[in-house]
Amino acid sequence: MRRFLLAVLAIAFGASAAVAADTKAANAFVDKVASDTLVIVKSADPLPSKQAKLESLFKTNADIPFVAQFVLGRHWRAASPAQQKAYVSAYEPFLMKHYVGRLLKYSGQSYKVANSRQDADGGVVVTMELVDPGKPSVFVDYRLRQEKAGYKVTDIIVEGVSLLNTQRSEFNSVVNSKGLDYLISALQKKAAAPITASN
Amino acid sequence: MRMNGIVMAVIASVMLSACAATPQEDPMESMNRGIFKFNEVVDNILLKPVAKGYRGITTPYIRDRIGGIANNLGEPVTVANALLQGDVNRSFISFWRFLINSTVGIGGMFDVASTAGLSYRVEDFGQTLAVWGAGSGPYIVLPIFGPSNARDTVGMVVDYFTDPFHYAMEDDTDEFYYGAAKGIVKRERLLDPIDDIYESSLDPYTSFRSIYTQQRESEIKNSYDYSKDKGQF
Repeated sequence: MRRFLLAVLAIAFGASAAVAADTKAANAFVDKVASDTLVIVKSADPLPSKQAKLESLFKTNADIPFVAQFVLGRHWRAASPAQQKAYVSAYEPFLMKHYVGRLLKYSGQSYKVANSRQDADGGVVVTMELVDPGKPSVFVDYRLRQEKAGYKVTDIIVEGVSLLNTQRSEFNSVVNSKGLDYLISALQKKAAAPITASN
Repeated sequence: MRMNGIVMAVIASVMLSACAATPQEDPMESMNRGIFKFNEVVDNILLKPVAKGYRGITTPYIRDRIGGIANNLGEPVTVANALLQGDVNRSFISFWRFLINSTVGIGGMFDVASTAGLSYRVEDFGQTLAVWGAGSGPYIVLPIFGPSNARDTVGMVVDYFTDPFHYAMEDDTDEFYYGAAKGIVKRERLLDPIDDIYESSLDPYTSFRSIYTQQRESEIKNSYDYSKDKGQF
């Protein structure tokens, strides 16, 4: 019995040490992604080049297939393999365009890692604080998952609003009322529309 | 009681009776969608153009000063609600913010309290009810005011009466201008975020519902308040 307790304790402490190491590495990962993003956004490059660079940064650091599948929710399993394929290839450029479009509007503030914590499914949530002097800070959470190739971003939560949850309810409503094929064509249309960045 | 007050009280009693928990996410969806459409029309022909006009005739510097005044006028409501939630610390912070910013900060134009480490945060009666254990009740789109739920609608009505500046108004006309000014400041702040939603959303009604619900949950939990002993930083 004592041995068993010791083993449990050892596992518990071992695990918590690993957690501490994890959040540190996760902080460093988010810090790196954020600084790479800022370098691109604040560079003197023309807009299309900035956009392309941000897209490739985003593709490297986010788990887009996971996100695509998650936001379709229960409709993913109901879809045919052909629909799944069409959906994923429509979703990626849509996500790129709208996520990247927003980053390009970012201006001025500095940022810092404000907090990080382990989430229930073994991922890590790192909170960034965007500081704008004289105004309340804006907080952005990056939800990360440890994968073979390192950390990947699986959700971005701005002031408590999760990109995944918002898209999931939105897609669910569209599929329920108009079907998956309509959703796919709507995603394609949105992705093809021009971006309206302020700079 | 003034006319506005009576209308608000009627809304409150209707909403309270609707507060019973419902398993469905949006049981009033078809009515809500109708009001949402109505709001879009009002927004397009009136609210958004006025907010844009306000942006057009002011500089960011001036808007920050006006926004500061608006935030400052809201502090007494936060002081009261933080206290009702048992958050004495927050109540004191907002009390001192109001005192300092009203005087040294010239009526709230300059948020000097923030520089002294007293951060800005809003606590309203909807959040107080949630802290007391009330569920959100069904999602409701209010005419003009927009996304809400049964609990937050009651909260809004109570805050209307908690607000000491409401009693400083001479008559209905003053009351109207007070509300309209707050509304214009708020809509101007939301010009870009709302444009973003319309640009990326496939179903703006659902997006607004989802965003509103998530935002309120986050505000109730004060998820980003690192001034308290929270998180392991």
